[in-house]
Parts: sequence; C-alpha cells; structure tokens
Amino acid sequence: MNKKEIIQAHYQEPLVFELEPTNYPKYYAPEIPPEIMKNVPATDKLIPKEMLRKEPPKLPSVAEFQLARHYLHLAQMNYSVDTNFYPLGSCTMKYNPKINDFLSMDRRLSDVHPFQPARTVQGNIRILYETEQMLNELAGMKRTTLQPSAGAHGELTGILVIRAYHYDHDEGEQRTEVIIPDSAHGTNPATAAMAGYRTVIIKSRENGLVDLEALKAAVSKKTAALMLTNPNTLGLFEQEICEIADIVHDAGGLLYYDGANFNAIMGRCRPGDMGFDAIHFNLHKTFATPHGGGGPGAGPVGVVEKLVPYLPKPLPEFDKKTGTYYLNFDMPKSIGKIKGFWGNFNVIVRAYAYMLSQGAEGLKRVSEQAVLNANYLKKKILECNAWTLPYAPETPRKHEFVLEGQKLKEETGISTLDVAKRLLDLGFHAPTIYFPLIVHEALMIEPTETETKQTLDKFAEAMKQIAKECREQPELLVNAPQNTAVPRIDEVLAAKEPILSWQMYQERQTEK
Amino acid sequence: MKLDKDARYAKTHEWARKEGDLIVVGVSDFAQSLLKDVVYVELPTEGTVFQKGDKAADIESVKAVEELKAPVSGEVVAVNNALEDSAEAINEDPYGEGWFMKIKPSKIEEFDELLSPEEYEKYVATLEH
Amino acid sequence: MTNQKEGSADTIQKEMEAYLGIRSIDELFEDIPPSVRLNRPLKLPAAKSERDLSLYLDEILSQNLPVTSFLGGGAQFHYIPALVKEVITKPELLNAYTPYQPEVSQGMLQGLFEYQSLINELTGMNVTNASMYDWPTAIAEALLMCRRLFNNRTKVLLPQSIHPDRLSVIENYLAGPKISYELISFNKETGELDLEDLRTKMNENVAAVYLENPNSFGVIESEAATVSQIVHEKGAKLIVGVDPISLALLEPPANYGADIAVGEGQELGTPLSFGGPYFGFFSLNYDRKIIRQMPGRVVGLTKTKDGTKRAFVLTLSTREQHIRREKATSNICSNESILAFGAGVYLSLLGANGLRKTAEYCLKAAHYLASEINKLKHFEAPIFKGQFYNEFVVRVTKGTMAEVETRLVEEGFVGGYTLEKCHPELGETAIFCTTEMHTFKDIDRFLKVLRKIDKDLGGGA
Repeated sequence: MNKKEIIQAHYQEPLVFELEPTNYPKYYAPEIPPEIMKNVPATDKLIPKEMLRKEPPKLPSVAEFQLARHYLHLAQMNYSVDTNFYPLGSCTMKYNPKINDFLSMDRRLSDVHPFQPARTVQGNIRILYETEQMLNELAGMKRTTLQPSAGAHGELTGILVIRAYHYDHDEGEQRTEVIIPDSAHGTNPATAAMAGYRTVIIKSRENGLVDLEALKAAVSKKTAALMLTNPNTLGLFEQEICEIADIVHDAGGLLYYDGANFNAIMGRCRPGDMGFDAIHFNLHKTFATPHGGGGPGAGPVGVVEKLVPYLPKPLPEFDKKTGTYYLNFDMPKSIGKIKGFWGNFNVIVRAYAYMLSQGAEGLKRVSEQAVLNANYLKKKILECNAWTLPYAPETPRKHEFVLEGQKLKEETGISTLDVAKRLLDLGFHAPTIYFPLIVHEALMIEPTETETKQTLDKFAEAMKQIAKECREQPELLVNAPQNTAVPRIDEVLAAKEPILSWQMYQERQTEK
Repeated sequence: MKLDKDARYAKTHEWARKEGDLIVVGVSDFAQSLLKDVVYVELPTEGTVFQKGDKAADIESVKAVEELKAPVSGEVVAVNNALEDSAEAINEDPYGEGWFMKIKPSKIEEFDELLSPEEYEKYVATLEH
Repeated sequence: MTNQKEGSADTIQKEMEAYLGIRSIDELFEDIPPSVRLNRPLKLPAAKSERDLSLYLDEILSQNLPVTSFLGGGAQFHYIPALVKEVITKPELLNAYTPYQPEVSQGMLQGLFEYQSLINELTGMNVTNASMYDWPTAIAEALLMCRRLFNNRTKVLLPQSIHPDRLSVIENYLAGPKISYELISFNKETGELDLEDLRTKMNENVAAVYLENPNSFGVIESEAATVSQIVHEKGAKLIVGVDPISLALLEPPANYGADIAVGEGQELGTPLSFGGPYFGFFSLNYDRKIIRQMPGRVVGLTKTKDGTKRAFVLTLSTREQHIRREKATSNICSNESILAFGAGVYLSLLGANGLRKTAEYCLKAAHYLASEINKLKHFEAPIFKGQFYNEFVVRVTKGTMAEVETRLVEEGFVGGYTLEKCHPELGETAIFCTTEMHTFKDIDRFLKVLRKIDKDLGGGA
C-alpha cells in the first residue's frame, strides 16, 4: 500500500498580482529633502511632455508582511541542494558553504561601484588578483580573465580570443571551423555558431572517447579549434589527450577546454599540462557558488601565454614598486569587453573564499571524494539490473556516469522521464536526463563529494525500488510525481498556448 | 505505423501525394510518433521555390525541432494555415488534415524517385532496433 | 543506523573502497597518462579556518577607502530593502538549480513568472525573458535577434553617445555573425540623438536601430517617437535601452514604438558589488513567429496534466542551446535567475508609489546638484540642453577633470565617470549620477568640497 508521503509543501499560492491590496503598512521610500524640493521645479517641468508617463505601472500594492509569507510559501515549494541529494550530471550540485555567502555580503564589497578609482578599491582588486593566481595554478594557465558571467559566456569569450589570435596571425578568414565531439554539451556548438564558426561534429568511438582517426580526418587548415571536455560528458577521461592535442596543434588549430567537469581532476592533472590553450571554469559548479535557481554563475577563462594579449580587458595587476593593485586597461590586442565591468565579483568572492577554505590539499580531496562517490554509486545502481552502462563499462568513471535506460524501456515501456518523475516522489531530485545525446534514455548522475555513503545508499535503494516498480507497478511511474507541490505538468499546453506573463494571462481571459 | 497507400515517401519521413497537377506534402505517421505532440509549425510563404531536399518547414514539439525537407522541387502554391491553431492535426491525421503544403513540381520525375509505401515500411523497420 | 564510533568516517571510506575492489582512490585515476599527471602539490595557500578566512578577508577589505560616489554609467547605488536580501538568500531558492524539474521547482518558477510580468508593467510589453547576464549583453542579443528576423539585413545602427564599454561588448557579439554597425551622432546642443544623421544612415539594409532613453549622457530622448517612425518606415526594428526605475516617470518604450526593450536590472535590488553580478532584462510583445527568435529562458503558465492545478514551467525551450545546439537563438544557459527573482520582490514591495517616489528623488537630486555645480565659476552642468533624468554631464573649464577627481578622493568623494577617453571632443567632462542613497548631507558636503576646488582653480575662467 503506497501511503502518500508529502515531501514538499503544497500551496495554491496566488500570484503577487492576486494578493489583496493593502493600505497599511506602506513601504516608505526615502523622502526628497525639503531643500531640494524647494529649489527644483515640479517633475512635469523636468521631463519632456511626450516622455512623461501618463499611466502608472500596475505594480502590486501590498505590504511587506504579505510578501514575506508569499515568498516563504514559494520557497517551501522549491527543491535545493540544502533539501536533499541533487545528482544532476554536469551541474556539480555540491554544498554551498554559508560562510561564502556571508563574506560576500560585506558592505565593503557590496556597496562599491565598479568605476571607483583603484586607490579606493585596493582590497577588491586584490581579491580579483589572488583569485586569478589560484585559478592559474589549478589549471596550469598563464593568465585568466574573470569577466565572463557564466560557463557559456566563458566559452564564447575563449572562442573569441582564439578567433582574435587567428586573425592576428592572418589566418582568421581561413580558419572557419570548430570541431566538437557528439557527446558535447549543447552550449559548445551554440557558442561556436555565435562566434561565426561552422561546427564539425566527430562521432565518439565505441569506448566513448574521441576517435583519433575521425579527428585526423576532420582537422584541416580550416580548423580554428577543438572544443573538448575532459573527462568527457560520459565521465570518461580522454587518455589520448596528448595525441589529440598534437593532431589539432599540427593542423594549426587551438584546443579549448570546457571546464564543466573540472571537479574530477583538481590536484591530479591540469588542462594546461594536457595541451589545452584556453579553458573556462564554472565557478558555480566546481567552486561551490550557489546556482541561484539558474544563475548567476561565473565563467573565468584561462589561457596559455600566446593567447594572453587577446584576453578581455582589464586584467588585475600588482605593481611591486608602489605595492598597489590596479586594473590594467593597456591591452592593445585585447578583444575588449565581453560584459559590462569586471566580472560577477560577488560570485568570484565566494569562489575565492571556497578556495582559501579548502586549500591545496582540500581541493585535491574534493576531486578524490567526488570520483569515489561516483564510482560507488555507479556500481550500486548497476546491481539493480535495470540500467546499463554504455561505452567502456569496465573503465572507471570520474566524477559522473551516464546510465542507459533503453533496455528497461523496451522491457517495461517505462521511460527515463518516468523514472525521473518517480525519483521526485521518493524525495530526490532527478539526475540529468536525455543527455548526452549519444546515450539512449540517458540518466547522467553526478553525486559530488558533499554526500555521505548513507545518502548514496538511500538513492541506490530508491533506484532499486523504481526498477521493481517498473516491472510490477508501472502505473506508479507513469503517474509520478504525486508527492510534490504539483503533479506532472502539461508542458505541451505551455508550448502550444504560451502564457508568458500576467498580462498575457489577462488578455486570454478577456478573449474568452 | 499508418501508411497512405496513395502517397510516396522520402527517407527523411516526408510523404508526397499527387492532387491534380500539384503535390501535397506532409510528414509520415512514423515521423509524428517520434516527434510526439507538435506545438508549432513554421510554414513557408506561398511562392517560395524549393529544390528537392531544401528545408521547407520547421516542426516544433516540446523537446525537439525537426525540419521538413521538400521531397520534390517546385513552387509552393498553398500552405495549410489551419496548422497555426491546430498543430495537433499533424499527430492526429498526418496524411489528411495534417498536410503542410502543396507544391507545383518543376521536375515531376522526382516523385517517382520517392519510396513506395512498401519500400518505406521496410526502410523504417531497419531504423527501429 | 550510523556508527558513532570514533574514526568511523575512515571506516566508511575503506568500506567504499573495498566494495569497489580498490586499495586506494589513486586507482581510480590510473587512466590519466603519467606524462600529464601533476606530481607535486598545488601551489595554493593552506586551508584557512572560517575564523581565519573572515579575518583575512576583513584585512583585505580594510584596504578599501570608503567614499561617497556620484558614479553611474550603467550601475547605480540604490537602497535595497531588507526583504529583498532575505528572500534571495533563502537556501531553497539560492541553492537550487535551474528549474528543469518543474514539479519540485514551482517556487522559483512562479517568482520568475512574477518578475517577468512586473518588468512588463514598466516596459509596456507583454513578454519578458527570465534574464540575461547584464544590460550590454542584453543589447547585443537583441541586435542578434533582430538580424535573425530578416534574410538580408546585415547592419545595425547604434548611438554615438553609447558608453564605450557597452559598445565593446556589442562589437564582440556582432563579430561572429559579421553584422556591421554605424554610429549615429548626437546633437551637440541637446545631447539627444541627431535625427538628421539617423535619416541619412537609415536604409533597407539596417535590421535594427538601438536607442538609449535616457541616453549615456543622462539626456531624455524627447523625440523617441520620431525615431521610431524613421526606423519603422524602412521596416527595421527599434530596440530601446531604458533605466528601469526611471520608467516610473517616463513613458513605457512600447508606447513610442519600441519593438524590444532592454536595460540594467541591477537597479532593482541588486547590490553594486564592484561590477557584478547584475542582470539584463529583455522585453518584447508576443508574436508567435518572433517569440521563437527570443534568446534566454522564459517561464510560462500552464496547468497540471490532470487539469486540476495551475503550474509554471520553463517553456519554448526548443529555442535554447540544450535542444537546438548550433541552431540555438543563443548559447545562454546559466543566467541571473536569483537576481531577477529579487527584482520581482523589489518591485512588488515598492509598488508604483514607492518606485515613483524613488525615481523622483533621483531626478530632483540630480537637478539640484547640477544647478548648484553650475553656479561654480569653473564648472558647467549640465553641458547639454536636453532634459535629463538622474545623470548629467559636468565640464570643468580650467585644468582637467582627472585633477578634480584626485582632489575629490582626498576628501572622501568620487565624482562622475570621466569622458576624456571616449568623448574628448566634449572637453574635460564627467557624467555624474544621483540616487535616493544621496542624503542632503552627502550632497551638501560634496558641494562644499567642489566649491573649495573651484576656488583653488583661481580667478578668471
């Protein structure tokens, strides 16, 4: 008998527009000083008539106490890393230490305008400088820009830097292609296309790794770069990385490292030593900054010496003579700016604090534990005899692994989607599903290092239960989830008849 | 898998059927079963001229976008505007109400180069494993 | 039951290794070729305790000089209500991932839906996406989107007054798709966009024109409706960059013909944080075809499959990189969700009245400051005749603005953002900005310092 276990609050929470308007208490915005009111004309004299707003915006007129409840209710209907296990492959949902949040709220950080002169923000520039030094060392790179706001943004930055390099060497027009393995994250080809490149996809071998022959066939003098993740999205380390680097470099191309999987290798090996020319980090993955329900993150880009001139400006520097820090804008070959200002500083501070908290040994330990947890969980789930491990099943994975649910689907008709929804019922967040594309009915699982064996065992138990249910009580999966804030959502309706705002909703109501 | 006996098929899962001197085009039942619920289509404008194999329309479901490739070369003389509000017709009646466009063929021999219903059925069987 | 014995954590680790049939974790890294292994410890500082970390950071930050600044230029110092800070630090929201499993993420999704709708009230449009990285990248993505809406238009027009940093970001995004741009000059008297120059440069090869209102000089583009006419006559799109708080007083861009509205969301409850993270908002009016070219995530309202409940979900995902890959509208994946959520809290809390009051404070403080600075012998403010919102350009007629800034810092102030590098033709100038964070005392003390500097510049103009 399946007793319904509530794992999340269920509120029919009204939209903020549907909350009852109140007159008391009101939010008091600061009063305009009387001396100013006296000496300045009325608002409608200060703004050109045509530009004066006629109708006020229809914002809610509610009190703080109503909103406090409203947002508490919403939070109680939201799953986070602090709730329970969150094994999203490729996302590295590790615990976000609270001290990093608190430190980032220091007013000397939060109330500082980016355009303040260097002598008033020595501490902030020093943080940028020291963060960069640490990232350079971790990755084996010469310099790192902290400007990009996200991993994909870092990818674009890295590819634009590579592009600038080729143009500076009179090969810009000639090199029009970027090579990407078929296992790559969607941002890779999207980035290449945004930078104006044609994407050349190479198929992975049966062991899941880059096919050297396919790569040799794909490189030419049109090759600008190869974009690679190592370990790849299957969690497998590209053992032939040196040969891969040689093939690409011999053709005059450069090697780009997608740092999404950096959590697997810290202290063990470095992209710079593997032959990569440019890499991006995901601070919101490897460096424990909060994901924020989708962002902000930060995607610093590290490069080898020959690419340094093209990095976005400014770069933080330390002047030994005066003992001061400054932002160096004197970078004539720089691609310029990729974002307003200097980077997602508040995110960078958290990553900085994280690295200082872990230290050299701690970061190495992070990767070790992440890899141990992943391999442990992989073996446990394979014992269920429901999912298979495609591509080199005998090779250990690194920090994540991808299971195939194709056989289970053929046997029981239950898809990976249904499995994911049932996991929600059992109190877990589902892993990444249907990615990478080279695995059918894929489940991509990354436990991270901040999980106990107990949690991993519980998750494996849940998967075992689900495997049983697939065979004996499939309706439990097809109807999942039932224990979450809402049951399965009609995504077809959402795409067919998009209602993307309160305004569109009201328009629909009047149409009816 | 449903088939229209009067249509011929492309390996990219479009069907084509003669209607007078025009060719009516849509996607096969097999194609719609892979796409699942279609939510939106982007149809070409009347008058557009395609070569066989050109992308002629975009078909969007929740999790994927597929292209309809022109099975024959020619000029688009009519499009099924009803699909704007009822894209589900593609799933429910792929060979009837789910038609996409009517082409005035420039090279009618291309029609015969397409697969017969039996050939298409055999071909689809090789894809499913 | 967990074993509470001493040393049991090590036992558990050994159990896991035994289960895997390995003697040490090193065996899991054996497939890394020896030639690339790092055979030395990382050259990083040793781990710090929380206490030491706090002390260390405190020591570093004590090297900052506290100043009162009148800086704007795309980031502004506004008051952030406590509720905003509290909500966006709730772990259920802050430590969540993108709501790809909507059934367990209704909180984030509803909050973002509300944010989208609240921004719509400001811009007068009915679709806003779930955020871009910041204002400059939002402009860039809007330009790319407009390019995609046409087959053969490969050019965009940008205002010459635009901040050089924003222009640099735009250039980087235009480079890949090989979109060219031309700058439209500004009227030297008013500071507003030069309509004649726009007419001259406008043709059927232009996909989009980008206008800022208020513009980079703080000047309100009073003829924006005419700009819209000129742009639309040639069938192009109009993108307008707006200041969100100013929209409490200024006409929504939809009303004067904007096709897309973008701007810096930082003003709505995000701290200055030395430059980031911020977020860009991106609004337009719904059209079945056009929406498919919009970048970024978007939350939609729908029902549960059993029809019983209202629910929220990320929708129209086939535009995005994880599905469309190289054909995606943008490569954007992580955005600025929690900050957008916070902006929703900010706007809900302030309401129309609170927002209006805040905007009026910004407006009037600026006019007060400008008129007082203008009374000084060697200063002109504003240098443009066009009406301004809360930013204005100041010129010093003797010596350099840089020298003025040096003196100001000595007194604990930072003036405006100096323009000698990007607009040397304007002379020694800087853009000053006032907000509701400037108390009358701040402004008064600032003016006292400026008067002293003015006096020290001596007699004569």
